[in-house]
Amino acid sequence: MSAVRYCLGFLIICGFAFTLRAEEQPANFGDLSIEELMNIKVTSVSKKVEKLSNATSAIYVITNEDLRRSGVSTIADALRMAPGVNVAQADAHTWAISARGFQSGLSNKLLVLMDGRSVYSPLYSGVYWDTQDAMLEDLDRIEVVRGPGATVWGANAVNGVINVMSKSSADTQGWLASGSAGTKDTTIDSVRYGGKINDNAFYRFFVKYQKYDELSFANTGLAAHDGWDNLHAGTRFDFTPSKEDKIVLQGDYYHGMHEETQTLASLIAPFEQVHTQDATMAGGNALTRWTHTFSETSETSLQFYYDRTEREELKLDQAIDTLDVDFNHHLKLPRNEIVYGFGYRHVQEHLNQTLAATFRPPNRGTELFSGFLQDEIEVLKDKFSITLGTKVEHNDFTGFEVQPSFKALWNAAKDHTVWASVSRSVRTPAPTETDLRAYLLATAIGRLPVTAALEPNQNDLSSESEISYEVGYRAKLHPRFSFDTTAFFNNYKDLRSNDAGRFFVETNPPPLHLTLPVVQEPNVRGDTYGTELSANWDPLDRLKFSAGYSFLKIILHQDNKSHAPDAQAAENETPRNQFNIRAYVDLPKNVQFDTSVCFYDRLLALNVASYTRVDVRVGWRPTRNFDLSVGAQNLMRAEHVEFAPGTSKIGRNVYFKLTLRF
Amino acid sequence: MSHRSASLRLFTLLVIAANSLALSALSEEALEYKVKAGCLFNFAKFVDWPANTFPDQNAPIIIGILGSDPFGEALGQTVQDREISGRKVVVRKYSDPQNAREAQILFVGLKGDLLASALKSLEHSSVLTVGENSSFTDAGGIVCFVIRDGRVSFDINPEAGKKAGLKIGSQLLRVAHIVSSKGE
Repeated sequence: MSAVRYCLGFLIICGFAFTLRAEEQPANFGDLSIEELMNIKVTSVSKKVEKLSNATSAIYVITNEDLRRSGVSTIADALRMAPGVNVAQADAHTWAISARGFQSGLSNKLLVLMDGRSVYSPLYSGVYWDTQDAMLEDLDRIEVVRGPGATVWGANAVNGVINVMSKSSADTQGWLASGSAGTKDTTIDSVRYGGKINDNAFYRFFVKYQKYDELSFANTGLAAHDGWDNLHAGTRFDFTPSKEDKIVLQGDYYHGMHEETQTLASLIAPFEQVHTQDATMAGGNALTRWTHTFSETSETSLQFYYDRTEREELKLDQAIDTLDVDFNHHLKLPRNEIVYGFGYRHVQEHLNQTLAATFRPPNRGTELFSGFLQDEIEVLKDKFSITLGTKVEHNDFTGFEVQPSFKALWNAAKDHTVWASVSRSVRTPAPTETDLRAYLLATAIGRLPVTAALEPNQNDLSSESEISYEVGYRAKLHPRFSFDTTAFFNNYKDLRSNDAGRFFVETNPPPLHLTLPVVQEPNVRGDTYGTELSANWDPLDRLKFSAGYSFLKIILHQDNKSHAPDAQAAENETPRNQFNIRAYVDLPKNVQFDTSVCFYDRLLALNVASYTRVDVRVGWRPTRNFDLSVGAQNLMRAEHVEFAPGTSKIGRNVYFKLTLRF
Repeated sequence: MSHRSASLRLFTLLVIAANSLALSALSEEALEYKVKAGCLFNFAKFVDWPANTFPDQNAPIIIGILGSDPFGEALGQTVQDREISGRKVVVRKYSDPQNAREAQILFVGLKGDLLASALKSLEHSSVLTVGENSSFTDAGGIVCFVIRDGRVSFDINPEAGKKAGLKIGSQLLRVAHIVSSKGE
């Protein structure tokens, strides 16, 4: 089906949107509760812009409705809707996600929070997307901030912060059961029950099971052994013991497995061995947060959480315990809005030796102390404000890190806002840079085994640092049309390169072999610049469009002393252009037709061609309690590769999904 | 199909789309005030008035409208045949703030100086004043409707509520946006 014909068919369906009777409305609004009344959309304009109009960062909000109508089943795929976020699925359970460049399975410049809990792995500075999961139906929104969030969120929020926020349990009462099945043998089933203890205490429990079948390798077409499943149970309690206090208690537990096939280096002919096993992942967390409102001008928040993550894979066998305490105070003075806070985090890593990796020390405990202060100064009431802030942290690797920022906001006119910011942020070193030894590959010269091995960097490793200059403009040109654009220039220092040293003879482990050490050194510096644009146009109540575009260019320079073969490859490992457009159409008889088209530019250095992804969903929702949908992901192309070769092909998935509430 | 006829179709459909703007705008407004009428009815459920507010056990709860009335039939239809705590609910219109003091809930459709003087005279009168223009709570009003994210929400000024002798229930305060009186 050609693209032109598809577009026409789509527009004809839009045409139906014009000839409609009024949507079903309750007979008498006096019968609805206040919450239900406040939930009814009375205008079609997306007021996201208004709420965010005073934000001094590039923010995009993915709403609960976006999650439902896009038909995505994972948070990773939901992030495709935000401009400036690079999402590439590498295999059935691995995604390479970053914001503003440096995309890889280990993207380390993006901080991800689930209801205030950081899910950024301190081990290798990345996120395991297969276990970052939630019942999407109970998520309130996902806020995607592109750009440095270091001043408020701390180190490692270099290029973005993704904040996944679930709904209060007061808003998720009753039963919800959802089941979906797809042609890629995917199954996702979840059940939630929400209840209340009294008018001030609400709770919910949920269980979610998901299973994804294996894909096939991009290069050989053979089965990739990357199928996975995960069982996740969780709970949330929301208490309002008094008008001034709010307490949230949350807990999760998950247990899952994924198949894996890895080719590991070996010192014995044929110098590589293919291993297949079922890797396990399990973990749990408990979080509590107490918000106390002293007055309309003073509010404090105290949060504790504990997180345990266990993953036993061929290359990495880890168990990590995290304990985190956070306090902040929000103070509104006549012309200053001040936020300050303190935090402490203790991370205990237990890393077992595997066939591929050894950590020394195997059990490392680290402590992080942090404090931040931010002041928004009203220079001209409702017209111009400046925000100064800084975060100071002390970590066990690099000592003190200071991350200041300076921002300005100008309300040029009603519905037109301009903002600018300059800030510094860092990514602190991770144990995979300082403690890890791993054989990368092996071959032989004659009968002498020769290997390349990743060696830990024993020197005082500095953090990667970034100074970011951003400017943005937000406007609502018409009640039904708004847009948001950002331009940025980032300067990086001490980025890592894989530096090769000199060959040396090694006898342990036997047999005797020649080893080329590879060490991650801070020998690369560079710049990135780009722009992001998002627009919302709601021509009708029943027809809404959202579009996003981003452009990114990365320029890297290697220091002369560096001996890294591919330090500049990262320039072409992230798409230069990305574009997406979504349409939500409400048709008669409570039928909804939703479609999205995403374009990703090629990855030259990884030999990945550009591709376009088309998702379609048709839903029928006769009442709020019954939602049946049928959809297709990757409708047009049977299979394509999104990330480095040697990973799996991502193909078409046709699914149906039923959601019931009672 | 040639590209030219395809783009012509596209254009026609987009023109129809633009023209439908006017039609849908009308039905939007009606819905907004139906929802607001529902909210006024709910306010009556979650606010406690002082003991001497009602002349007797059978007196109805009065939802009054002072000034311009944007509800049309919506408010009357919402409260028809409904009771709260055994009292009927009725809708009355007023043009003089002094007469409006008998109401329990009063929607004030006034602006500027008229609004300021009306609210001043109702300050200690046990009337829950409700409005929808942006300076309503600044001028001393208790509840102000605000459209956020395309949905009806409201700001509540608890201090003004206390001055009027009212006890606003936590169910309302929880879903509202709390504001304070500026310049105090």
